[in-house]
Amino acid sequence: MALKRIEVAPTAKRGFDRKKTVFLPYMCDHAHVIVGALAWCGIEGKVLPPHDEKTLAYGRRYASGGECLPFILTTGEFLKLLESPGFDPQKAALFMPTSCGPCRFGQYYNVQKLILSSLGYDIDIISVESYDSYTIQDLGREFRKCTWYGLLAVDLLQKLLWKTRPYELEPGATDRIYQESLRSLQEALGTGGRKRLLLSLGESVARFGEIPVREEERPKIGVVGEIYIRANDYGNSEIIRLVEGLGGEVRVAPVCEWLYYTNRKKIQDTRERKEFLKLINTWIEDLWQHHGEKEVGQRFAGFLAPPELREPPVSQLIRNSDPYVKEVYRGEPVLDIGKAVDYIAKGAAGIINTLPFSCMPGTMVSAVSTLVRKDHGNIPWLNLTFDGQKQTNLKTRLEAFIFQARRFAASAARGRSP
Amino acid sequence: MSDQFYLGIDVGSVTVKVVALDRHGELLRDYYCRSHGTPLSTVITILDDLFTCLPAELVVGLGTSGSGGELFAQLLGGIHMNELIAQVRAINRFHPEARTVIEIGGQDSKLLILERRGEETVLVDFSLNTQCAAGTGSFLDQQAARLGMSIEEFSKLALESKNPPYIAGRCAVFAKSDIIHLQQVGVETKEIVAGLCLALARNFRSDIGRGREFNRPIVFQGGVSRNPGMVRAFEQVLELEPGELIIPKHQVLMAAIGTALIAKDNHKIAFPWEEKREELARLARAREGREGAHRQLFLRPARRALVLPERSLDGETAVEAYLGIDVGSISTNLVAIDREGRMLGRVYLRTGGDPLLAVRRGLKILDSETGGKLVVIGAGTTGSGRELIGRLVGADLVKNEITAQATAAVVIDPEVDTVFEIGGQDSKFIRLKNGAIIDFAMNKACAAGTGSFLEEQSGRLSIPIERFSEIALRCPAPAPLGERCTVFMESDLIHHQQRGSSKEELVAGLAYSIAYNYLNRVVGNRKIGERILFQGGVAHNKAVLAAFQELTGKEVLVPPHHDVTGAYGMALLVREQMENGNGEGKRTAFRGFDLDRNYEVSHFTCRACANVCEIKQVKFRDGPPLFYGSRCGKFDELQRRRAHPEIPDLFEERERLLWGKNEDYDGLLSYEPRGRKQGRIGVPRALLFWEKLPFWREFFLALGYEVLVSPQTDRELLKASVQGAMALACLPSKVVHGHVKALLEQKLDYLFLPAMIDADFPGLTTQVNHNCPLIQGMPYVANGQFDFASRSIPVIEEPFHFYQPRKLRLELAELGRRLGGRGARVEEAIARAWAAQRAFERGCRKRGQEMLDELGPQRRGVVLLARSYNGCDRGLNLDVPAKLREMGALPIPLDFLPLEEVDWRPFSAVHWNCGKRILCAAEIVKRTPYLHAVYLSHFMCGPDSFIIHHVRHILGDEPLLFLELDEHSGDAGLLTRLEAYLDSLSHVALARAVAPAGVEVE
Repeated sequence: MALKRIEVAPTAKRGFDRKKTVFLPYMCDHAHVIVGALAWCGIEGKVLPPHDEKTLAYGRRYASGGECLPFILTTGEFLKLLESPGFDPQKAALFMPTSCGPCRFGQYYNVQKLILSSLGYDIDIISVESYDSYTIQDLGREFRKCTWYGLLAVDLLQKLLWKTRPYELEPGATDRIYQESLRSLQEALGTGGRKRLLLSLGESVARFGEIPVREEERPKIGVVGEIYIRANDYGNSEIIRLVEGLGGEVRVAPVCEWLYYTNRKKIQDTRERKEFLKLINTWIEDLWQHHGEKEVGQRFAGFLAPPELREPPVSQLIRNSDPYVKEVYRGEPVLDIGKAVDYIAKGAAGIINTLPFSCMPGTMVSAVSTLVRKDHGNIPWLNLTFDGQKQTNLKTRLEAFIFQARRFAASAARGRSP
Repeated sequence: MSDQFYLGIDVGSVTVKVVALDRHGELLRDYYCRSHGTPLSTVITILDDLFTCLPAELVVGLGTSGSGGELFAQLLGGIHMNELIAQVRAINRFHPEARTVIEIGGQDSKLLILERRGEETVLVDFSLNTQCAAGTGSFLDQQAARLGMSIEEFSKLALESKNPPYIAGRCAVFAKSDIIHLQQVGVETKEIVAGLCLALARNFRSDIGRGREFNRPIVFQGGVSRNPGMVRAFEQVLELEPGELIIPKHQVLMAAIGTALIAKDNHKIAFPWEEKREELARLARAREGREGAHRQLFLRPARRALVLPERSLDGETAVEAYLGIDVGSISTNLVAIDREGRMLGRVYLRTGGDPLLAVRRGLKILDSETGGKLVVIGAGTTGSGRELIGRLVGADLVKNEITAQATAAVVIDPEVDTVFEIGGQDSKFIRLKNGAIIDFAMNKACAAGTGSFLEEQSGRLSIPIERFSEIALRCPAPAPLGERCTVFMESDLIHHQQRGSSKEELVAGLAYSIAYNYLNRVVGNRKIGERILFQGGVAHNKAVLAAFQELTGKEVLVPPHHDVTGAYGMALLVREQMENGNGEGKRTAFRGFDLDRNYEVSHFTCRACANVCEIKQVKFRDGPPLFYGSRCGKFDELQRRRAHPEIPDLFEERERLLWGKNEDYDGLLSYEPRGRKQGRIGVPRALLFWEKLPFWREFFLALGYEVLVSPQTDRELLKASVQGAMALACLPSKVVHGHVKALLEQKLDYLFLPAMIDADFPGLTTQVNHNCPLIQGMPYVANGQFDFASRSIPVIEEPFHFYQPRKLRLELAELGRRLGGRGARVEEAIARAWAAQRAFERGCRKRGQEMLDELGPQRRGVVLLARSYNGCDRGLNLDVPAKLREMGALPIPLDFLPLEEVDWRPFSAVHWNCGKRILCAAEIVKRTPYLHAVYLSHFMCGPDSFIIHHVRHILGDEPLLFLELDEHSGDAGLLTRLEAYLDSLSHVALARAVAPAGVEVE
């Protein structure tokens, strides 16, 4: 008896039912501002709880075994939701971005759809291709703008968090203010759009300024790598807190970087395909996004003034990466390597590259990292793979890594002042 | 004051080390103890003992290291040091000349790269074991226990070896299965032990070293360095003179001494032992890690009783019997049944590393327990040692264990639709419909050893396996351990152990892990039916049964004699064979119960090719000797392996078409241009050149270049690749390394390593059609390993977009110019290239069509769902096509199918070219009678982990065999799966065996 065939082709859901609640997997705090932006546009959104052991168990149950961790985690979270008592799939939609390759991320949506339908679930999945630069046409321009401002704001708030927390005098003070800021950010965006978001941001920044901190020399550790694992605390075994606990200060590649990169790719693609209307639209969008970056950035002016905290443009990252991986290679490696080189140039004493086990682009970065190190004074560099298992030796590796980073920083300092 | 001393405590995963140093840093006392799952209490016991001779008041410094040590440093005011830093401190003290330190302990392997800077030896680089290679030290322990010897005997035995066999070493579990297969083919234990040591040393160099230079002098320390076999193995692998490897005097204490020395370098402390001892002891006992605990295991009583018919021999004198023998890695089982299928006798015994001996003993036991009343009229063997034992006992039938297990299940419960079978080393999942196998799966290599894993872990926790269930079932909060591969489970277990979980929690957690592991890794997303039988040795474990009930929410029944169902099924199968059809009137070949040692085992090395196999010869008193262990099958003259000259070898034909040569295409290939030679270009025989070589060859030839293609992937090349390439990638992408290395030995003007971004696909109109990211990045990955620029190697690493013809034209024109071609000549080269490529593709399709037209019940076709470079490369496909041919099926390369005739639109969102091709092929399989599919993948393949979901969906009920290969050298498991797969295609063998007369059910 033949099963009902499920098409693997994308069936873009145009005409989204605005009465449905949109559920977003919690990749990182940026999910909260998307909920804020949805609220501003009159749609209810909910962030799914942070991943846990149960998520993994659900995710693995229907996995073939070789999939990458972000797939297992997002699938598991969706299944956990669908199987929770009283949940009505008819009143809900799942949010799952996608891309057109070449890495596996672009296949999440399809396979999740396949798994959910074969289990008998009929539920909408909102998906957007990165070829479209994550424009959800149906949700409208205002949603896009609000989301963009929110993402920028969280990127910058996190910078403040990572810059302040290691030096706080009262343990927990920074986390508290960060969490409160995040909440007011979501609320402000949901009730007053971009205008109120900027106001709320001003207040948060001021509060960060009041956290008492101590003077301390810490090695700066640049964190690059596959975006989901890099940003997801559960997925990366709370790598940021571990590094801070061992005496480092982290610099983590921001989430918005990927969106700028997809703009760049879209501009190149539309030009090549002679789709001039799309090209112009993307151009405008990109300009406008940079304008947003300035506007949001102004609220942080005093704090993020040091040049080493400024993000270089994507074009710079691509230039940095050119000796190792060329731009024609589509995907994260050019950003990861470009960013690592940027961190090193700005005084980082060590680089951590996070990747899911068997991640193809991540494997590329690990493979060329030997050469990048060689060209940069053998800077300490850790490639960390994650597959959802607890790692007994993670702490040991990090301890020794931070030890090396301290030495590297010290000898770099000696080199500067003979 | 002169009696003041410093304390160093190093808490490892398996052992704890405590040292006391005097004020000159000299060793006063030391302890090196196994912690048996209670590391903290063990330290306290040691300290209690230590302080009876050296008073605690005189401690003026405390250093700790290792993941449990922190607690002591915190409470007693000491310093906790990272063990790498502690090691370096100790190296500075004892061997400051060292440049490399190899440290292998119970669970952790470390490589330290050191440099002399001024007065100090400093750490410049280090590497720790990855998740895959975890547990090296305890792996040796496990193997010693498996071979029934102490670790000391094990170490000594290795030195007696002369011809150690090659054992794959990438992952502990892989090596484990290799060992079991070696045992079953009769390799002597001392050789296995030495092979194992070499595997570990190689594994360390490739997986931990990852291309780092091992500069001399080299220090080898940690618990494993006490093993002289390992010392010798490292000397051999690192090409050192005997004795050149430095083994520090205090080889296991280095971290403890180092951390004590660091404490000595610091301020003196007060040491509040008396007041803190109780608190420490309490904390050591305290529970941690309760969160996320599983539900308590609860065994639901069975609602149905299963019966396996038996017949008493009382009052009989002689009974005709069929004998089934199941030779597994852990146990050897024998079952005798009468002509009606009733059980007359059974024997279950340990294989103990010597299957030949185990079967001889088992036969004697069976004979004496049945009072010599059995008259054997047919015998069959199954299990992973079935071929060898088949020859030993004179079997009438040799069958794989999946068919045997399924046969038994159907007889015990005709309505059964699902069988879980977990044995010592292998586990199986079988789905049945009306008594016929419709789907099955065996554990993938990395999840092997579930049954023996339970025993090993209970051993680690000092719990006798008999008490396992009792302890597990009373635990209210089973610990959440991992569930993927046993090596991961073990590290999780250790993690929880270090955090103080109780033995009960761990044992109950293990039961869950085994069940989860089985459901996730073996069953995967296959459907589980409603009538489930749980068979195999592990089924006696009530805790695992309870975990299965809890996790599936279904009734799971354990049949009587669950531990010998394989042998029982085999006896039923041989009964079918002897009583039905062509077996009628056949006399059994059974040699009798009393088989004295009528064979001799010897071995030699075959150097006929670069494989250099260890060939084992089992010589029986009469009849020809048996040979085992050759990779190429040169010495195999088994009944199973029949040559089928009438079945065309399409894979060979494909190679002829691809290389454009009719013979001798295995070595370095050279193609000369017709006109004046401009230069020489090297092309690796890897990745997409397995399908696009005609194109590039003609392109370069037309421009006047000689084309060199690296030789066929062989063992040497694989070895070089695994050592030199990055560890965490699939094997097919790793072999690029070996091929590039081979080409660099030639004088080249250019090395051709293009970035092949996307691929052409007839008629496709999707926006993208990518190659795998690792193919796209081939030149960058290779550059990361070879650093071409600094070695002045001219590389063509330009991108090519085969899916974007306009772009491709420009790219080819540019390349043509770079190679000195002018306008028209480049145009002509491009035209010739396409002509050659299309001719190759047409050749494949044409031959494929001829073959499809010939399919029928007597000629079943099996398409290899794979990429050209892993499916068609004999160095990577473990000769699956040849094996299929030997079994009478026709293996067909994927590109022999008319893929372009399939509507690709349902798959348009699968953005990889390989994915679309595989799905189109699956579609053809689905609609073509007598055409079947084997999915051949390699470990860590990213795209396949997603494509397989779609393939399963397309094929629906059609049986599919999914093979995930690696550098695993033993192929017994592979043969089983291929055989069982082909058995299940006909559905006939089983249907005939169903429900013999006189069997009562329910």
